[in-house]
Amino acid sequence: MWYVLLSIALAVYLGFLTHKKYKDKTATTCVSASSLIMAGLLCYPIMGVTTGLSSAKDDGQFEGFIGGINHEGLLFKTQEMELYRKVENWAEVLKSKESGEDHKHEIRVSLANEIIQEKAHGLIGKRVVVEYRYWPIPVLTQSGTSYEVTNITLAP
Amino acid sequence: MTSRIYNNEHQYGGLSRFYHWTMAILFIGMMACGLIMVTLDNGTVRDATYMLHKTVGITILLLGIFRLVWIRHSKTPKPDESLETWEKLLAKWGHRVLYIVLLGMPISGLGMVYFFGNVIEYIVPLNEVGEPSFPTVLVFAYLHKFILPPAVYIVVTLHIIGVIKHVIVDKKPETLTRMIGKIER
Repeated sequence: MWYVLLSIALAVYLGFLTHKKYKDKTATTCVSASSLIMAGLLCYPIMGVTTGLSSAKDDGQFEGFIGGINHEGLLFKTQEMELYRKVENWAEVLKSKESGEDHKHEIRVSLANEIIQEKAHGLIGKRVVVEYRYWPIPVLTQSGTSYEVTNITLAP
Repeated sequence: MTSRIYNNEHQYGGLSRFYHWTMAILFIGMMACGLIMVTLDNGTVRDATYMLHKTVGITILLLGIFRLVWIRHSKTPKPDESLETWEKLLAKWGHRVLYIVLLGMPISGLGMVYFFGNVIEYIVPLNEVGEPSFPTVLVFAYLHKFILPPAVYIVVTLHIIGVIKHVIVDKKPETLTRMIGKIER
């Protein structure tokens, strides 16, 4: 959370300086909001790495849900963040899970939603590897920690 | 008198210049990003590029909103008196169209993502995947991919050509220097 606090602190500080100098609410709001927006953008890659790493230490249980049209995959939700893992080949994933092997590669299918949902339920009780998406450097992805899928909730 | 953040009759202030140049860099970057990302193969690079595109797009939208607030609040410098009437008119409407496309592009992009059933991401995912609506997606996609981009290319090109004309042909560098902070009267 330090990046959020840092961004807010920077925005408040610049807003305070603006207010002190100009005594203008609109100027203060614009300066604070704009600095918060830009700080958020700049902190984003830092946040991606730190959050990803902190979650990677947590070998807890995850809950996933399926959604999208041709963007199907599993969205693993934790208290801290959501980890999205796309599925390239469900048949291959299921096979590798059944054999107990970790599976890393990306996923993308264009199947009807009913088929996706049916196959996704097959993952319950199995362990999957979550691949973190670090932004904005695509090569900085990390996988390796496997999690047990405890529940699949279908998207509305 | 000039102020560090306020505009005056002759010059843009610091906040207007910040909005102008930051949004210009981000917007041109996102145009390039949008053209490149659709050509990428499925994979992590494509995912990260889409995520970058969405996040910076929302940043542009938010900055654009505050830019409009600031434009209403801080007076805009007067156009150069030596400009022809048609040039002033073109500049005025050019800027209006620029603001429309600056806000229209991220709004249509957001609509496209949301109604496609994808997660909108701005630093963190903002929503759960909803029920897709293809007719609505088509409207937003048509705007985002076919209607607004040509408008962006035309207006941005005219904007740059106009600046080059004033600076080089008309020998009026104030048109540019008042947006880079070199002129003070």
